[in-house]
Amino acid sequence: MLKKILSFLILVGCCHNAISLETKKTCKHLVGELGDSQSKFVYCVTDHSVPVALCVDCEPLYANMKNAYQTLMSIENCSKIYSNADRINIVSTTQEVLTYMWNKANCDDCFRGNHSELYEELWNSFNSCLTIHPKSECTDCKIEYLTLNNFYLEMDKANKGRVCFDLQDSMNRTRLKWSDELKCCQREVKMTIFIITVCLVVILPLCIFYSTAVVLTKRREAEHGVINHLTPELEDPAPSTSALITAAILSTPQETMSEVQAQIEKISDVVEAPRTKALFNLSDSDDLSTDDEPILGS
Amino acid sequence: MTDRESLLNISKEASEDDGAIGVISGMPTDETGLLTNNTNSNDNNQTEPIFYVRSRTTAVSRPNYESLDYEVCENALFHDEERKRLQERFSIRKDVIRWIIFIQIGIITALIACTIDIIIEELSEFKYKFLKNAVDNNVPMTDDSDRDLAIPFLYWILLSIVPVSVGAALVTYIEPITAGSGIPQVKSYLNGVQIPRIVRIKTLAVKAAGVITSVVGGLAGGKEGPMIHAGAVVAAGISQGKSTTFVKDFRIFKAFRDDHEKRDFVLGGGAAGVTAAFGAPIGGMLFSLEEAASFWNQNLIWRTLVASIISSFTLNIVLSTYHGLDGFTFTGLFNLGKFDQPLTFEYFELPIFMLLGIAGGLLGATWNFMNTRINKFRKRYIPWKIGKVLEAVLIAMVGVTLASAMMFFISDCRPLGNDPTIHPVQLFCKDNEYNAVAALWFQTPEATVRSLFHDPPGSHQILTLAMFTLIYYVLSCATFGLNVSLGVFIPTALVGAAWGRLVAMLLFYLFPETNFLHPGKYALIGAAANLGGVLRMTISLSVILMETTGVETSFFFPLIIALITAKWVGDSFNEGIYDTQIEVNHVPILPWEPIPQFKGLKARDIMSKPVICIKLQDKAHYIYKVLNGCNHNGFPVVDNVQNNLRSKGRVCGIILRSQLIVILLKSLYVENKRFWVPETSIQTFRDVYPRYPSIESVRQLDNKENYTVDLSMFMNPSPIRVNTHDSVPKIFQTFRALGLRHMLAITNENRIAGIITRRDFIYK
Repeated sequence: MLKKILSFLILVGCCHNAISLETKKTCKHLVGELGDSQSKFVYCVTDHSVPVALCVDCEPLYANMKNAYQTLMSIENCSKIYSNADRINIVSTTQEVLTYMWNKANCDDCFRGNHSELYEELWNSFNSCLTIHPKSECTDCKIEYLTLNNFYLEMDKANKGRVCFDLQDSMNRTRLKWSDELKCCQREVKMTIFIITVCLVVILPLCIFYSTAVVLTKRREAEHGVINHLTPELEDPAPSTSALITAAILSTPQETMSEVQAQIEKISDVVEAPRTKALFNLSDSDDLSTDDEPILGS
Repeated sequence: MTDRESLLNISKEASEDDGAIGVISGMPTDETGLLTNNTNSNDNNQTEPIFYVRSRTTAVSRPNYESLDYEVCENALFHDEERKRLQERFSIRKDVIRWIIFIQIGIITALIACTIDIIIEELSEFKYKFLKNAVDNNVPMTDDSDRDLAIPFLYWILLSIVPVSVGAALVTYIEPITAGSGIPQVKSYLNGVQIPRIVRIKTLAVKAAGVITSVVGGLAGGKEGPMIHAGAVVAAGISQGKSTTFVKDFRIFKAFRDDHEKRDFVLGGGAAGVTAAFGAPIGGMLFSLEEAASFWNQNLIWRTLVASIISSFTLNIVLSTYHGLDGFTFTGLFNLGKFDQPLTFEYFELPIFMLLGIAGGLLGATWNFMNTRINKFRKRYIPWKIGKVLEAVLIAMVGVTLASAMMFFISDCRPLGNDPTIHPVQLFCKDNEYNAVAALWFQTPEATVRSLFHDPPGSHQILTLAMFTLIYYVLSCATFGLNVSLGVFIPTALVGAAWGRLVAMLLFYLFPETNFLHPGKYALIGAAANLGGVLRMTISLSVILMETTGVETSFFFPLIIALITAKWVGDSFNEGIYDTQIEVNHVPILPWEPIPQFKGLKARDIMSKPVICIKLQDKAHYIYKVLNGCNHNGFPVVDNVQNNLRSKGRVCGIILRSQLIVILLKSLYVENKRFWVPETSIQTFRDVYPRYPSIESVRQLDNKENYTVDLSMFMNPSPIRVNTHDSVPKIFQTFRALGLRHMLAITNENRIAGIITRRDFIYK
C-alpha cells in the first residue's frame, strides 16, 4: 500500500516537473524580453537626462516595457516563478524602480489633453523670436516670453503642480535663459517710497505713542509726588488692608448726598474704633476682655 | 524691629482677607489715617486726593486673591450622604459618572481645539495668498516703474492690525483675565488660588476669539497656552452640569459641585488641552502632574491619561477628515512632523549639544529678564485700556515692518521646487527662483518651525537665518505680555529652532567636510534648549518634544542633555517665564519648598491672631455681624467659652463663610428646626456653588427675634490643627500636600491660638 502511494506521488511529481519545465522555457523567453525592453528604456532615459526629455522621447520604450511586464505577469505560472521568488525579488523591483521614475516625472500628464502641443508651439515661437532678434531680445520677445510663462503658470495651477516634467524642465531652462543669460528680467530695487511709508506709518506713531505714555505718566506721578513720597509702601508686593479697603470704598459709584453721609458715618465708625484699639494694642497686650471682637464690640 | 518681627507684622497684615483674624491687628495706623483723610475728602467732590492714592497703588488695582476650598468638609450632612449612598444598590454610580465626565472633557476640548485650528488655518491661508499675489503684482520692473512695494506692505499692515485690534479690544474690554497664555493662571488655580473668572464660559469665548485674531494677525505667538486654558474651562464647565452665566441648571453631576472635585476635573481638562495642542497624550498628563503634583493619586492619573488619549483621538479623527487623509495620520495641532530619516548622533556631538543647552539657558534667562522689564514698563507707563489695545496694534505693525524690511533688503534666492514652500514669492529674484526670506515670513509661526526642522540643508543663507533669529527673539519678547491671548511656546521653539539651525550652518561653513551636521537635528536640539531656557519645565516638556517629533528612543538622550543644561544654566539666573509671571502678578502661589526665611520658625511666629471664632451654639445676630464686619472665609467653631471670650475657646471644628451665609439665607435655626431638618442635606450647600451669595443678599435680621444657630451639624469637625510650637517647614509640607485653606494653631489645651492661611506662608 505504502509503495503504491509513494510511486503515485513520484509520478505526480514527475508530471508536475515536466509541466513546469515546459512553462519555464516560455517564461525565460518572456523575462529576456522584459530585460531587453528595460535596458532600452534605461538607456533612453539616461540619454535624455539633460535637458530632460524622457516623457516624450522614451514613451514608446516605456510602453514596450510595460507590455512585456504585463505579458509576463499575465501568465500565471510565470508570475508565480518571478514574483515573490526570493528576498531580492529582482523582476518586480527593477520594474518598480523604472515605473517610479516615470510616475515621478508625471509623464502621463504629457499625453493627457493637448497642453504639451500648445506649450511646444509657444516655446517654438519664443525661440524663433530669439533667433530673429539677436540683439534686442528683451524688448522684442517679451510678449512671447510672457505668453509662454503665463501659459505655463495656468497649466501648473490647473494640474496642481503636477505638470509633466519635460515641460517643467523646459520652462525652467527658458526662465533661466531669460533672466540669467539674457538678463531680461530686470527687477528694480526701489525702496524710497517704502522707507517713507515705514517712517510715516510705523515709526512716527510708535514714537508718539511711547513718548506720550511716558510723558503722561511722569506728569501724573510728579503731580502726586507728595503722596507718593508719603506712602512708598503702597508699591510693596503685599496688598495692605487699608489699601484694599480704600479701593473698595473708592470704587463705589457716586451716590446721593444722604447715602454718602450714611456711608461716611459707617466707615468712620469702623476706622475710628480699630485705630484707637490698635494703639491700645501696641501699649498693652491682650489682657483686655474686649479686644477680642473688635468690630462687634463698638 | 528685628527681621522676625517685621515678617510677623506683614504676614498678619496680608493674611486677614483670608483667615479669620481681627481687623485691627492688620491695619497700620498711618494708613488708617490716610484712609480717614480719604473718607473726609469723599465729602467734598471726590476728585484729586483719591486719584493720588490710586494712581500708583498697584496693590489696589490687582485682584484680591482668595484660596480654593480643596479640603472636603466632612460634616454630619456629608456623612449622611455617604451612608445613604452605601445603602443604595448602585453605589458605584458616582465613579461611573466621573469617568463619563472625563471622557466628555477629552472630546469637547479636542473639538474646540480643532475649531480654533481650522479657522486659523483658513484665515492665514487666505491672508498669505493675498499678500503673495500683492507682492507679485507690485514688484517694480524696469519697464513698469509705477509699481511699488509700499502697496503690499500697507496691505500687510492692514491685514495685521485689523485682527489684532479686534483681539486686543476683546481681551482688554471684555475679559482681561484672558490676556497672556493662560498657563500661569491654570497653574495658580491648580495650586489652590482662586483666580476670579478663570473658568467661565465667557472667558472661553473671549480666549478662543482672542487667540484666533492674534495668530491670524501675525503676532509672534502660538495657540498652545490658550488651548490649555480652554481645556480647563471646558472641564470646569462640564463637570458642574450647570451654567451660572446662562442661568441654566441641567440637574446633573450635582455631587461634583465643590472645589475639590472641580480641581480634579480641571486637571484633566488641562491635560486634555495640552494633548490637543501638541498631540502628546502622555506629555499632557505629565504636564498636569508637573504643575500640580501635590494633589495626585493613582486613580486621577489614570483618568487624566484617558481624557488625554480621548482628546488626541478625537482631534485626530476630525483633523484627518478635514484634511482628507486616510487613517488617523494627523496628530496634534502643533505637529512638528516626523523626520524623514532616523536622527542619529555621534558621541563627540554630545558636548556640542551641551553647549547648545548652555546657550539656550543664557538666551532664555535673558529673554525672561527682558520680558519682565518690558512688562514692568508697560504696567507703569501704559495703564489705560485704549493704550493697551494701541500697543498691541503697534507691536503688530513693528513686526510686519521688520519682516518686510528683511524680505525687501535681503535677497536670498533659492531655486523653486527643491523644497516645499507654501507661498513662494519671487520678489527681486530671477524667474524660477523664490525668496527664502519671504518663505519664512509668509506662513504661521508653527509652519515656520516645521520648515526649519525639515527643509533640506542649504534652504537659507546664514545672514537670513541670523536676522530672522534676532528679529523673532526681540519680537516675541515684546509680544508676550501684550493684552492679547497668545502662548509663548511656539515663538520660543521657533527662535530655538532658528538658532539651532544657524549653528549647524555655521559649523558646516567652517568645516565643510563634516557629515554629521544635519540642520534639522540641530534645529530640534536648539528648540529644546531654548524652551528649556525660557519655560524651565522638565518632564512634560521633554515628553512633549519627543511625542511631537516622534524621534527615536535613542535620540531622547541628546534632547534631555540640551534641556537639562538649559534649565540648570537658566535657573542660576532667574525663574521660568510662567513662575515669573505669577510672581509679577503677586499671586499667592505656594512654592515646592518653604522659603528659607521660614526655617527655624515656629507656628506661633507666623500665625495670625487673634482669631474671630464662633461658638458651637451661637446667636444668629452675632454671626450676621461677624460676616458683615469682616471678609474672612473660615471661622473656627469653639465651645467651652467663658465670659463670652470666644477667642479663648476650645476648638471643635471649622465653618466656612459660604456655609454660614447659606444657614442665614435659609434660616436654619434651632428654633425652627422641625421645618428644615427633613429637607436639608449637603445638596442645599452645593446648590449655591460656585458663586456664593454675599452677605448683602441676606436680609437684615429682625432685632426682636433671637435665633440660635447650632453648628454641630454643619461644621467640619475635623479641621487640621497644629500646635503653636510646631515647626513652620513641617506645617508647610502638611499645608501644601493637603491643599489646605485654613490651619488652626492651638495650644496644648486645644484652645485656639491663631490661624494659618496661605498668605502667612507667602509674604516675607
